[in-house]
Amino acid sequence: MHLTASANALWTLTFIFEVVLCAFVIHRRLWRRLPLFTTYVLFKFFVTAALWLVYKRFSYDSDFARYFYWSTQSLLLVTRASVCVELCLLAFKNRPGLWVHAQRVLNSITAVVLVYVVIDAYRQAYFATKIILSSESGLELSVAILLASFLLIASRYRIPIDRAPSLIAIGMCMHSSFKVLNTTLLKPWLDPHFSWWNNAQAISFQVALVIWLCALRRPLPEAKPAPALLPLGVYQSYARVVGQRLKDLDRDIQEVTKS
Amino acid sequence: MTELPVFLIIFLVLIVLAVWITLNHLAPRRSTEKDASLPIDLLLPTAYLENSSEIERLTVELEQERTQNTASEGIRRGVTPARRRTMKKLLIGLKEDFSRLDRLMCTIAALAPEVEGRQEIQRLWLWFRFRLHYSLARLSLMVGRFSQRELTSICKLFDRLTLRTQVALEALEHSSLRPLRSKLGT
Repeated sequence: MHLTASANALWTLTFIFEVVLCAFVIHRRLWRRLPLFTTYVLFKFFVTAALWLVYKRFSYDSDFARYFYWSTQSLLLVTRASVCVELCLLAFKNRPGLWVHAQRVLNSITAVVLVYVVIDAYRQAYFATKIILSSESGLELSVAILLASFLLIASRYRIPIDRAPSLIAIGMCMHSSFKVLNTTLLKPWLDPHFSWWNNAQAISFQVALVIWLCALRRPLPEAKPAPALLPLGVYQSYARVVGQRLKDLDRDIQEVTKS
Repeated sequence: MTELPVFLIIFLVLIVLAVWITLNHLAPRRSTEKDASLPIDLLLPTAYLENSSEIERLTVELEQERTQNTASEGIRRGVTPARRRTMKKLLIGLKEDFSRLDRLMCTIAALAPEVEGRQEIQRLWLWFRFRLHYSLARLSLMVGRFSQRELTSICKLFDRLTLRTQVALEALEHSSLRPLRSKLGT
């Protein structure tokens, strides 16, 4: 069995996007700022090319193609997770106080999602493929949630993130979210009725690729110097005064709704 | 042959979504350093100060209604359009006061060498609570009427706001917060 015409067309389009993205990455010398994202992009490009050759040589449903696909997918997932860590570090590296707090929050969220993944995989016992599938979708879920939480924390604390890293995070978050949604909800419902739905995931990755291309379209701005930190006691003094005032305001607003 | 148009539509929808996110959510933000150097008159209840004359008038009216013991009339007259406008202004002002202080604290936390996780989570919880109470207050103002008990609560709120404004103004007068201000370089 070979790939369908639409799958072939999508594959070619993905490959073209990846070639352009690799060219952008090299032209912008992205490895200086985002080495792990650079690794991911280049690795993804090689995987796409290699998979194409494997499918051509061994057919789409051969054992070798399946093993090759799953082993490269797991490696890609690991590199994607490392990109998440890289993005978080890039945003919070100059904010030592907040980073400790954000790290705790992000670690807790990831731990909760991973526990869910393990439980979900355990429930699928005796079905090796299902375990792999549920682990993959669980890890994608943790990537999506981690990135969404990271963007929310950065937005709440008004941490200025450059356009390129934030677009990279948005693209990656969108792709992972769609993958989770597709694997858990859409695919089981739609696949039996629409055979072509299998290709929807490829489109979501293409959207992520377009977002990343937009991110690297313009030259990256010069790295800003680290902001000057406030003296040690300022946070505590303000936290006390402002915290009390916030509580008062909350009480004030409650008065209006009291009945 | 239906595949291609369907894929095209999905692709276009996702592209439009991506472009929308890019254009709307990546507006340049003010730098956090600049925010942290805001003056410390933030503790003043601006919600009250900006609408003090209207609030004072409303306080007198509500107080009269309350003390005249005309509960039924009070309930009937509870929310007149003018009162609703004043209350709406006050609620928006309270929300602005809350948001400004919360933003200031976030900025300070972002620039602090040490941050207390417990305090940050507490503030986030307070933010959720405040938003909920604010939405409920707006909703009750939009659809409801004030009962005698609510009128009493609002009168108390006005009294507290008046008192707090006086205290804050006195505190500023005595420049008790000047050391904090100088630490932030203003």
